[in-house]
Amino acid sequence: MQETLAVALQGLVKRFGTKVAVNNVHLEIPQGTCYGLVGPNGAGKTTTLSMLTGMLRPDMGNAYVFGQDVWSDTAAAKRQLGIMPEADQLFNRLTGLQLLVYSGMLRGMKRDVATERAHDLLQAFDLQGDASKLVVDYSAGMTKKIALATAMIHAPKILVLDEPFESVDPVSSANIRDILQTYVRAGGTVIVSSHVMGLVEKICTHVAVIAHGQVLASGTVAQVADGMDLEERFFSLVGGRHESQGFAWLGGVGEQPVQDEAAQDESGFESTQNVPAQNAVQQ
Amino acid sequence: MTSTQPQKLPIGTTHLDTSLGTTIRTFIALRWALTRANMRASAWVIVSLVIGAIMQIGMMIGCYFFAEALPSLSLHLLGLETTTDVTLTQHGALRIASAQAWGLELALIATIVALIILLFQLMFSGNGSTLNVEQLSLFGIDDTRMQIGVFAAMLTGFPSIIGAADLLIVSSAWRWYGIGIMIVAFVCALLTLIVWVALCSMIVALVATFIRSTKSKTVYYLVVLGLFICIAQLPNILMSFSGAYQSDVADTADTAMLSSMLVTSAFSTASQICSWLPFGAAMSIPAHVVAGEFGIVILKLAISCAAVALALWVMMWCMRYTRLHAQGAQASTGARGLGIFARVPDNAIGAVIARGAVYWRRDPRLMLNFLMPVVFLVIMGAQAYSTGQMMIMWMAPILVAWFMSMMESNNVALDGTPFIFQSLSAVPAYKDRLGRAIVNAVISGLAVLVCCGVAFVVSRAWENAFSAQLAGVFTCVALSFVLANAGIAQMLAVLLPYPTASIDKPFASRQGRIGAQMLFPFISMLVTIVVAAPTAAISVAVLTQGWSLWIIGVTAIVSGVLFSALGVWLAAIIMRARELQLVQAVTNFASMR
Repeated sequence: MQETLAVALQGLVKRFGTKVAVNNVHLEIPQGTCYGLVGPNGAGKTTTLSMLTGMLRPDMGNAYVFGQDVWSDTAAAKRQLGIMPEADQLFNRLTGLQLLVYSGMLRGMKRDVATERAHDLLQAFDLQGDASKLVVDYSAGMTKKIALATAMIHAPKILVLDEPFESVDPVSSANIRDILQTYVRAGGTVIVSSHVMGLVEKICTHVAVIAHGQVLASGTVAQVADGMDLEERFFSLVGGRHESQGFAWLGGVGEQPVQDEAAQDESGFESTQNVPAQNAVQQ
Repeated sequence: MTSTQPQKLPIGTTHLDTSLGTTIRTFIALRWALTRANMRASAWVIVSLVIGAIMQIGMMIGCYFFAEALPSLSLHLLGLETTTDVTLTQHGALRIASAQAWGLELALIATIVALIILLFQLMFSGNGSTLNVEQLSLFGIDDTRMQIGVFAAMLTGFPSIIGAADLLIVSSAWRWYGIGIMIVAFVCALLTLIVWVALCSMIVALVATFIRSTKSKTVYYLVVLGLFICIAQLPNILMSFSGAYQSDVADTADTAMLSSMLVTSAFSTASQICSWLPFGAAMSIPAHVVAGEFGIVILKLAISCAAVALALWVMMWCMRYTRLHAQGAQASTGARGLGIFARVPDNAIGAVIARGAVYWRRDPRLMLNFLMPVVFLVIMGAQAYSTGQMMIMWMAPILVAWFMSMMESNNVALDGTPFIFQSLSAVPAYKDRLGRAIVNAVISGLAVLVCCGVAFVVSRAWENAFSAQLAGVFTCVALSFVLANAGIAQMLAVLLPYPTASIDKPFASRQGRIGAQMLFPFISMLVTIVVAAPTAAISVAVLTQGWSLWIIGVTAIVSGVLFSALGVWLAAIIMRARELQLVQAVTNFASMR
């Protein structure tokens, strides 16, 4: 049975001056999958997602959401997407509850529906006790969770999440994973950009490895891993891994202090006023 | 162990050159590196630097002329005619008297200038300076070295260099008393600058240490901003009231002399006090050198040095206190439940209205909008009282209507990166702009109506039919401005956004937006003039033809509604077309901070 494609990226190119950030990216994301985008820093993941979500116009290529060209009607495409905003993109002078309801009402939801869903999301993300607190006073993890909740409140067909678990505590991470997996089982599509291989392996059904603006491998996790550990496969594709050199000046080996009168203790270590505790331990 | 082989030291031992001199040099180099980096950050920074340089040249010219005028001023203070030959002040008893007069003048002015600088520093408190001890605390530098290093870096920064230049120009006036006195004056000028920097930094450090929660910061900004506005408008208000005073009192030579004596007496007392306070003490030292009062010289030097030492000690205490009492900022509680979201229309426009209303209350940058109506009322009231033309009061609501749309004209930049949240939500542009216009119109309209009520009472407009009718017309005109500007502001916001301070640091200036903030209000003013054109034209016709005044009022309201609708419609079209550019703009503005 032919898979329905939630997202199709065809020949996307984006340049910033002389730097080619995205270089002819082709990607097909089936509906009902959790698709991980992995790659080193500066690989082009965020740029690719920005072009998909209508936030950055590509220099060449096309992006489709359920067969519809994103750039022919970005508003329509965005209505099918739930894009997780970054922390500094939130209206943080609203309370958590207000922000969620605002997010829902902006998308045309009725107030009572948005409120009911907001309460559900706050409970799911363990934020019900902080619903009346201003978002500006949330911790980094709480901010991440409320941002994710704003992307979900309108029950989009596709969730686009950039590092959704960064700064989130393990319990909440597990709860969020359960929510996302339930969402995928119900037919939703999740696109996750992350550096954390363990996370990608745990929750994603498919993965694409991106480096230097190009897709190096894509498919199911098993296909991409090709019999190896996903992380090792990633290193083999991306490269850059080398033997740890170590530094002579790191790890207890260093130079004499300049201008400091250093006294030697009985152990032969030079004691300085900076490390009296360690000297005491040594003795 | 030999000195040529690496010494095995316990992990964590620092082995850097930690001498004070190295620390100072490093901090100064760091400050200038950051300054140069800021200068390369954006074209707006260059614009602001050019404008700042022009203003500074003007300041230096002003200081030069002030120094040249000091001899004449001293004659006035000594009770002599200003037409007297100033060279007389250099001989005999007049030499010492004139020097003392100069010293007192300079001490008083130095104190006033220092307090103004302090007010600016208090406004910028917590908004991030180029060198921040909190940022540097990670490096394990001991408090004394760090504080002295940061202080030295502050003394070698642009503001200090400019301040030193101004003080040195003013101090050049002492050349009348000889090169030796002038050199003493130069040294004292530099000492004064050091005292200013030290004491201002100390007070800012105390504020930053004890005002930490979001709520207390909001109240703090409101108080400081209110103080700043009151002081800035004080000359206007005093001139208006002094005009009333003069018109009430017979203009006789005795009155003029009495006034002059009172001013001189008050000046003398204030300057005497200021010459013993740290902000101004050093500036009066050359006078004591001329008079041979070396005991007082030593005493005032001690006061200045003690002030610097105290300031440094307090700043170090603040660092330690912050470190030992580090705690999360007290969380602010917002509305229980939905708050205003429960009372707006149940649609996207209602949501935008609610969010805008919340931010009118919680955004410290918009607080100015609530202070300026009071200021306008006081100024116009003073003008009305002084001239006896009470209808002048009606200028206040019109000015309020114009002013409250000024910041709204930059609402996209004020939103900042959260504007991207709007974009991600795919909210239709016309709903976004209409919602913003409604919020602005309602809040501005309420403020204008209150001003109209005050004007009605103060001008006693109920006393006759004509003035009551005029009051009604003025109210309509003011409301028309509210409506028109609410719509036009939406168009300007999406067409010409310019950088602004972030909501978290409402007075920060690192991004070099000062140039834009000086220019764009004039654009808003020009647009307002265009908006007022139909009403103005009808007014001319009514007054020349003797028609009913209510025609002006009706025309104004209709014009306001039409311009409002036009503004929102155009704003929606422009926003749809420029959405990605606006997203890029707010991202760039954020990176400039």
